Amino acid sequence: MKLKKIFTSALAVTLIGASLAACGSKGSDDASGSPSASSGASASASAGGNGKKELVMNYRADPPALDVSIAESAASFTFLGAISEGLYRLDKDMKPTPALAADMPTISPDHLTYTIKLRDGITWSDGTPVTANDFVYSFQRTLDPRTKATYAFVVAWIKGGEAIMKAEGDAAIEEAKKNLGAKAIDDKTLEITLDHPVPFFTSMLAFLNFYPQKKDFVEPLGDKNGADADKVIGAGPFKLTKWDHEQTLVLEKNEKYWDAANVKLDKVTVNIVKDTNTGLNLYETGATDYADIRGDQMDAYKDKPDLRIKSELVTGYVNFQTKKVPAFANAKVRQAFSMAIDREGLVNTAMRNGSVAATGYVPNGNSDGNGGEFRKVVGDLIPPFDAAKAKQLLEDGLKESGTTLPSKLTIIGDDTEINKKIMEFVTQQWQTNLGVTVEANPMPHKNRLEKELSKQYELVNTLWGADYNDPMTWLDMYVAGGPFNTQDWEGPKNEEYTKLVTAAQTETDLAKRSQMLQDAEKILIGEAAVAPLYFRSSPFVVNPKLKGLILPPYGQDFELKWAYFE
Amino acid sequence: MLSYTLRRLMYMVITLWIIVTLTFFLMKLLPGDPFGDAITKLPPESMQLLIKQYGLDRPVWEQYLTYMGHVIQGDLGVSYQFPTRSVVSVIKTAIPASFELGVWSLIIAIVFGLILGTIAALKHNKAGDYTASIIALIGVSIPSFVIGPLLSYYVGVKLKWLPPGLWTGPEHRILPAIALSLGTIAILTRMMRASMLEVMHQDYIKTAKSKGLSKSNIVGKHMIRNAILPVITILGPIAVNVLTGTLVVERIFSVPGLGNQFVLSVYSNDYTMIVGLTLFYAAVLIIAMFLTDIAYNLIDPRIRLGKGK
Amino acid sequence: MEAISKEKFQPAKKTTSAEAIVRPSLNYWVDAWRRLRKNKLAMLGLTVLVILTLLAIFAPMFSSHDYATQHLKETNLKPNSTYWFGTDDFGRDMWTRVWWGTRISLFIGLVAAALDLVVGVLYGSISAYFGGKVDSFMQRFIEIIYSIPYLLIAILLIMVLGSGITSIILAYAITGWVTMARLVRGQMLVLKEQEYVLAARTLGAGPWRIISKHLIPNVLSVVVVQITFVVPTAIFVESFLSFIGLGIKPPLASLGNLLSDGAGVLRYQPHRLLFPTAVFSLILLSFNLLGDGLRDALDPKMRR
Repeated sequence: MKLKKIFTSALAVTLIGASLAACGSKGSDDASGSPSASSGASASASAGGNGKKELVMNYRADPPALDVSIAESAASFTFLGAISEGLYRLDKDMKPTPALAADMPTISPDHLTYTIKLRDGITWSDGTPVTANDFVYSFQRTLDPRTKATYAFVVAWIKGGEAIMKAEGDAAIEEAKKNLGAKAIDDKTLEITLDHPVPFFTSMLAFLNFYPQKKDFVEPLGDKNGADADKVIGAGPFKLTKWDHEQTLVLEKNEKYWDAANVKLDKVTVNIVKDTNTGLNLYETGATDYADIRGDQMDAYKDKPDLRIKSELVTGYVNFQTKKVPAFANAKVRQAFSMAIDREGLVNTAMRNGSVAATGYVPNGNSDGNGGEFRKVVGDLIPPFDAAKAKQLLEDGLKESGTTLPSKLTIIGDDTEINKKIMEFVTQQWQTNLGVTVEANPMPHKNRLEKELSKQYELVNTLWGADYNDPMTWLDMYVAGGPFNTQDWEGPKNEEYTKLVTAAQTETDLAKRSQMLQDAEKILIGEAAVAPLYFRSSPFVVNPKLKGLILPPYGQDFELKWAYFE
Repeated sequence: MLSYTLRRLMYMVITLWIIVTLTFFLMKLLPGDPFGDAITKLPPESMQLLIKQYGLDRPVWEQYLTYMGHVIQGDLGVSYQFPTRSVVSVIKTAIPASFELGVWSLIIAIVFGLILGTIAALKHNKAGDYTASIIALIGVSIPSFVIGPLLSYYVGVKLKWLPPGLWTGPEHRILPAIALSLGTIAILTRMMRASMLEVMHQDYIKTAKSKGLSKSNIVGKHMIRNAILPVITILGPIAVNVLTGTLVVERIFSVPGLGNQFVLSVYSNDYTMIVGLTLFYAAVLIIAMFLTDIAYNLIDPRIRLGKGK
Repeated sequence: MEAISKEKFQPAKKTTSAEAIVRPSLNYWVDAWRRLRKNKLAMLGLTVLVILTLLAIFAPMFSSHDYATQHLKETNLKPNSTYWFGTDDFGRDMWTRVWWGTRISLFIGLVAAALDLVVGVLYGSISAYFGGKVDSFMQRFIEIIYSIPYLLIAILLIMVLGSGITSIILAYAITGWVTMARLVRGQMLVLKEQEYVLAARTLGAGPWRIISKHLIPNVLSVVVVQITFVVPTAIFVESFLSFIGLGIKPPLASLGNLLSDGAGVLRYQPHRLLFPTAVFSLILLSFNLLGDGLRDALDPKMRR
């Protein structure tokens, strides 16, 4: 029972990750093209540096309601991160640093109870103090099924959270709230008791889902909370002073912020620009200091200081449905398909946006849950590209399992330009290196997700994004019978894998836990249960005079607190 | 005249009703569900609440009746993608930009369309005619999604004459308005040319000529005035042209208008928003045509609904 | 009194030639063609269309490449001796793609026009022929369809049907026929009341003769002119649908998706926009010029 609970929570988070990642891809992929260093238009980015106090940015879409509880997209994360704050804030190395909390939490020896002292003198932007009760209220509101919070599962890691979510009827919900394992000991002390150990919980406390909410502000607004500039309140470095939907958001420095001295920007204007060409046009005329661009646009900026490449915690990979195509149940067949792809060629000719060839499933930069970087600890697990060996493996595998491949296979995937290119590339690789014909069938993101989750595919080109910085966000996906094991990976190897992952979920010794997850990934890749292709990157152009702007690899699109102009 | 107006009004209402119905049921046929990823993300308890809130658990005809009831009260529902914003409020915030863009583009189109059309007719089958016709035809020969980026890049970035996008100051209106007006210029030029040619062969022009009136007098007082009259009849198609043009132009120039919103709603399967916007577009169009009709009727009493024709 | 001799009453020598039509008889269409030929712009349009159609059919044969094969080492090349129009971001030959796209776009335009013709003429004729209640009802229906912005309906339909050539044609045709029907009906109604029809009737012409000799030719002119506007409109709609991502699926090319791809990369690969735009504009321009010319040529009032 408990296992199931843990699983569902992790499940929810990772799926959101997928959609976040997809959101991110929309912005940068939706037009075609690839580089050619022609006309090389030079950037005459914003005039006059000398400590400009106003930042202008492009943003790809109007954010949905800026409500801490119901926020679910990178857009909400980004803007609420500027308007408000949690107990901790992630710095440029993605390490939590005390924000509304005075210091790092005191954690009980069983890793279940976190005691946190709040900083003195912290206030909402209207001047009223932020208290421990604001946190408790926020958690309760998020968990309340009537709020319909997508991220409630994350907050449900707190003891008693699940009970609130499952409660039926107003009275039962209110009753369940009283038993939530988050208590305000006094105005300045918050105590959180978890349902099970979560090794990265301090980092999670920096996330939007654990921000405080001001009850007497939120309550009267009801459904309209966060819908407009005057319906948002925070305790962060900026205040939202103007929000013209689909057009502009204006953030101004919050003078009441506890760390206002370190906030150098007076004003941030964010313009909604959906077309990347127009976005770059605006950048080149100096109308904006920040624009997301595409791979082909990136080429012209190759040697310019404007270009920033953000490597994300996003892995693109191919899944093989083993029930639809019986041959895929054989590991050698899958290994052959994986080995027949020239990943360097993929990222360098087809993608060209800074993405790198995958060397495992967990992407570069992801932590190992024990203070190290997972990829560095585990190393390169993907066997090198070898067309001849791949062909041999395919023959062996088919002979071994006594199966044949259908005359024509189909791979589904998103219909964004970059994904179409990826599919065109891999299908051609399989054609020339294995002699297997695979047809690409691109479709809208939603349809792809629907088909993938309902296992209606033979091959799928898909991607996954981390929501929290821990290998678990990647590796719990393929446990036996799990809804994300859409390829129906079964057999003794999968049992071994499942055993490792589920044991890791309750393991409190971080070193052991990390080891289990490393072993799990080795099985996953060794079996080619998935074929990771690339770790994704996104290119941006940013005014070179702008310093201190953090482009985090997951969660927020950008972190504004420390940004300033030279 | 009054009974005519009333009858036209009645037809308008019936038409709108049919459009609501059509759109509603078309939307029900659509694949994909409006909550998208949320359906798998949300806990079942919340999902139930959501489905109830949008009434998706009831039979389709009941949903339809409820929807109709709300529409009559001017309530188009809540947008699926922005659960905190009603469709009406989204439309309301988007109207000013689209309206302004439309008006600017119409002004440009009318000025250039009438001038080009008049020139083309006066120089019928001569170089002037050809030049004017071809200039006008460029508008229908190159899609606005090509013209838009070209203008944005060459005029905005290369020449730096005007901002390449956004909707903040008056200077931001010019490029999108031009991009949007090209199609309309073409329609107007062609209409004006045909209408002028028609008028030029009328007896009263011959009379005017034989009276010895000056050419400018004939053209100005007799021809253009009479030729403009039929041009009014194409206000309807022009309205369509402007409305649909906004779908493309607004996105390219980052104009926060209805067209931008419509394309977004199509991408995100936002049913209530699509139905609401289609309905709104259709209503604007029908009203435009209704006004055209009434205006034309006032000017030319030969045309009456149900009589003669 | 001199007797009047019978000889003086000889019947005049019959000269058949006096009543003969000396100049060659010109039927309506020959006459129209003669007038059309005088219209330089229209003839230019016609010539360009013929050339483009021939290119669309034959040009891909002159290239050793096909429209789908990728050359990933040769992406985004400028026009050169191997790739006459350069290559796209997949290293596909633009020359072949442009002419393939022309082929697809012309096909969509022509089929849409044919559907338009059949449905529109039938609907318009029936409405005009029966008149009264039927006409009134059919007109209301048209009015409704007419007042729905056709692009919106096209978008909704394609969302329901899924994208593809058939859905694009259907999406256009479902609203496109309305203008044709209106024109045909209007023309028919006017023609029915014309003096020459009355004259023909008085002279004892049967209804069939009236319809075939007097009504049809006159309606036909309107129909022909309208078709020259339907084809480019359908091609235009296809391009618009491509722009919002509801057009033809790659790797198949249409002018619409070549244009929208090209517009996205005009900054760095202008050649990818230039060629499809040139062909697209030429097609539309030519159809419009031809249409304008035809309208002038077929308008009986313009006979001089």
